[in-house]
Amino acid sequence: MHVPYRYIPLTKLDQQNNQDTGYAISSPILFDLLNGLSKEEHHEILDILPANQGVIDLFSNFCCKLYLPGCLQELRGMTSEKYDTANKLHRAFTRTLGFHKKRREFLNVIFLWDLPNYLDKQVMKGLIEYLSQHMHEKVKLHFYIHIKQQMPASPGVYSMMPEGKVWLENSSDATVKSPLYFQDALQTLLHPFKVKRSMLLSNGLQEYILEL
Amino acid sequence: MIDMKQFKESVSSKIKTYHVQEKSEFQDKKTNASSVQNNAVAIGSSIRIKGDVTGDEDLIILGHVDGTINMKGHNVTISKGAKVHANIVANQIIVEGELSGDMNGDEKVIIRETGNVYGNIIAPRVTLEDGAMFKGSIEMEPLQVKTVSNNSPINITQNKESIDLKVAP
Repeated sequence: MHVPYRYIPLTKLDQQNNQDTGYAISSPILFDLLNGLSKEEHHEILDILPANQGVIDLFSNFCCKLYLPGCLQELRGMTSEKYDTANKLHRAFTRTLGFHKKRREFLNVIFLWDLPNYLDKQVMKGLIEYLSQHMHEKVKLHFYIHIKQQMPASPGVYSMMPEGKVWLENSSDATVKSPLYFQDALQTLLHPFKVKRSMLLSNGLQEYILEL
Repeated sequence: MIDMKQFKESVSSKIKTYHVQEKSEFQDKKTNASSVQNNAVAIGSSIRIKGDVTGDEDLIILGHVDGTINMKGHNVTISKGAKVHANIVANQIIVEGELSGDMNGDEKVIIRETGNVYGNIIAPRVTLEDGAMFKGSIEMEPLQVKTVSNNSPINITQNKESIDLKVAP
């Protein structure tokens, strides 16, 4: 059965709350993703952003294990020149994410936010390959892609808010050229994931959810 | 293993001194006065402990501890400036200093803005203040979690919806 997509328009309160520090965006796919998580089952969730109270509060309603490795900067610092073999990359991911073979994780939700825009392509492929050893077969991969020619020079700082809204902190005015990933390129980059849903958001981000 | 009662008796004069001084300092800071019991004992800032710490009263750490801390049913506070490399079991754990280790809090875990934690948390409630640094995992609602074998995948309820790509206008 097809369930129509549901936008959650920003309320006047949200708009009033937009401040110098940041602003709220609607993130309908994230909203549906969270709504689809059973409260009866145990979930293993990875969020690559630095830990914040928003994500902790949100997932305190679920039986879950929330992985918050706070490894955004470490991942950004990886280049395919520096980590030129699969083994080097694997060791680097183990160091930054803290996953070990002896303790198997079965991640069923992964939040990458806008990291895929900023990672070296080989590093991004390596990350997906690495995570595939720690994923549940029904894992959902959520992220945003910048669709404008220029994007902020650094990944955004996102905080989950109730009702599928996300608070996005203002970044500096500095911009860099966006990789402009479209669906085919994304599916190549994030193989074996396949795009399940995608939606254009009002602030020039394309929201994606991928599954195996 | 260090039993806090024996530890207190053996260095009672030092402990009592720290107890009075540090409690006063602690309350002056207005950090978590409500959570600190009157009978809390303090490990002073000049004290370094290597080993296992156990006890039946609240504990405030201002020094260094390397080992394990088991204060089940009581509160443990790692004050600003303290450095702890230990797994901790307690009722409520408050971190204002540095901690490398896992925390098992029966009631809650609070990481204050000055707190710096590398480790995993199991607790029904976790508070992370702005500015606090945390790297690790948080396992919430552990009492309600069903026992799941790590070797068997977990069934997750999925949205029943089209698998086709839809791009919103």
